Amino acid sequence: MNGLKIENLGKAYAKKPVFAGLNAFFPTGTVCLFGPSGCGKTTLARILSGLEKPDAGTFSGISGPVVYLFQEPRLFPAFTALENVALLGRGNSLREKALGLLTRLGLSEEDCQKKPSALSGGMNQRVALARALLFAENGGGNTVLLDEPFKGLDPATKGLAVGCVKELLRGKITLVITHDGEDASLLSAEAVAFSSLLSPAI
Amino acid sequence: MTASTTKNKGKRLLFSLIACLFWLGVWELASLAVGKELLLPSPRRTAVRLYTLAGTSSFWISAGTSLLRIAVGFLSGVAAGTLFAVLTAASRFLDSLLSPLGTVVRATPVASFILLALVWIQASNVPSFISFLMVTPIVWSALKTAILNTDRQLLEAAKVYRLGRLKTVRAVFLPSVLPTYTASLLTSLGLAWKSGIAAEVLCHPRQSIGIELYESKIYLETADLFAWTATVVLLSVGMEALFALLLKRTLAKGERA
Repeated sequence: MNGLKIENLGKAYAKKPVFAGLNAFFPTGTVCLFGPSGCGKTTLARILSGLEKPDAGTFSGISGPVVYLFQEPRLFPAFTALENVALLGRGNSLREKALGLLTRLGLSEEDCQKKPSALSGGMNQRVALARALLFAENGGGNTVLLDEPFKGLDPATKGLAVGCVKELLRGKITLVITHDGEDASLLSAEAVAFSSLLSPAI
Repeated sequence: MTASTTKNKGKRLLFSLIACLFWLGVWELASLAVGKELLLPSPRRTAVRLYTLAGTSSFWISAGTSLLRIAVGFLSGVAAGTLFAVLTAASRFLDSLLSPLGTVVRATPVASFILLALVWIQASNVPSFISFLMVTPIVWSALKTAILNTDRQLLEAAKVYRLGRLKTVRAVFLPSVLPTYTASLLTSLGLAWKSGIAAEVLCHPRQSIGIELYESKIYLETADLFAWTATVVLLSVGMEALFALLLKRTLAKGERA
């Protein structure tokens, strides 16, 4: 069965362990991972995306670049919303796709031409989500990590974002890190408590 | 351009004009108080001398040659400073190896370098060399700090989204370092003029503003000394304004691309 397998993963900062002995198997499809702040969810995402090295353990099943939506939008400030999304590739078709995705997420064409500093926090969050979703489709591998993807979104725009995630990430191993227990039911995904992964080998 | 921007620009221009007239007035009053043109010529006398000098071909040859020398020193200093900054920001080993060089150049008096350079190279090349030496560490230090202070979070985003080197430079590094970099270029341009002219005064290269300043002092032509100094100020300010305009246009073009 295809999926992401994590075995005995451990990480510590300045000799203070964040987590140890983390074991999990995430099959193709969406899983919502929840847990209190500071339990190590984001650290796990950073390890899986290759930004951090684990102190112990291994993981397998990832092919191609990991798509990682950070907790913060992390948009490039000198570029417009559209450019931030279309920057991932070349050509007019990608630009059109980016524009289509941004408007689908509720941004007007005028908003797409604005720089992140001129947009609201919720708009920037949607631009960052659009960037991740487009990368998943163009160049990204089989694994997608979304760290609080709906943070700061009102119910209406959250509905739009959930729709895009469900449709565009079909066939991927998608791990959604969230604080909101409602997200799992909105995404029709399995909800997994982070603490439940910190158990002896499965 | 909006009406308020035009209004603000007009206001700024008016303030500059008032400031200019105020300081010219102070100069005139000081000159009247001293009462000796030999010690402090009036602005009018300086302007007349400048006008007379500007009517001679030797004035333009001297000003042009000095301008060329300092521009060569400045531009090569910018190139070297940029290269050193990129290298030392990228490699700790190179930083440890090259940083003492920058510290020594910054701490050594300009006069020592001028006199040493006079022993090593031709007098006519000393001003360019000295301008180069003064510009390099300023650009180097400012750009290196700006590169190292680049937002780590954006660099991580560029890495995760596989932007590649060129796009990472365009999307992350350039917007982050440009304000500091351009400020360092403008600061070092003024320093290039000061040090370059000081080198000309000490090295006496033929056809230069420096030699004209030196001879004005020797023959007690204080009005000429002021006129040549005014020439340096005008050239330096003009070059700075031109450079700032070019940078602004290049940046605007880069943003549109």
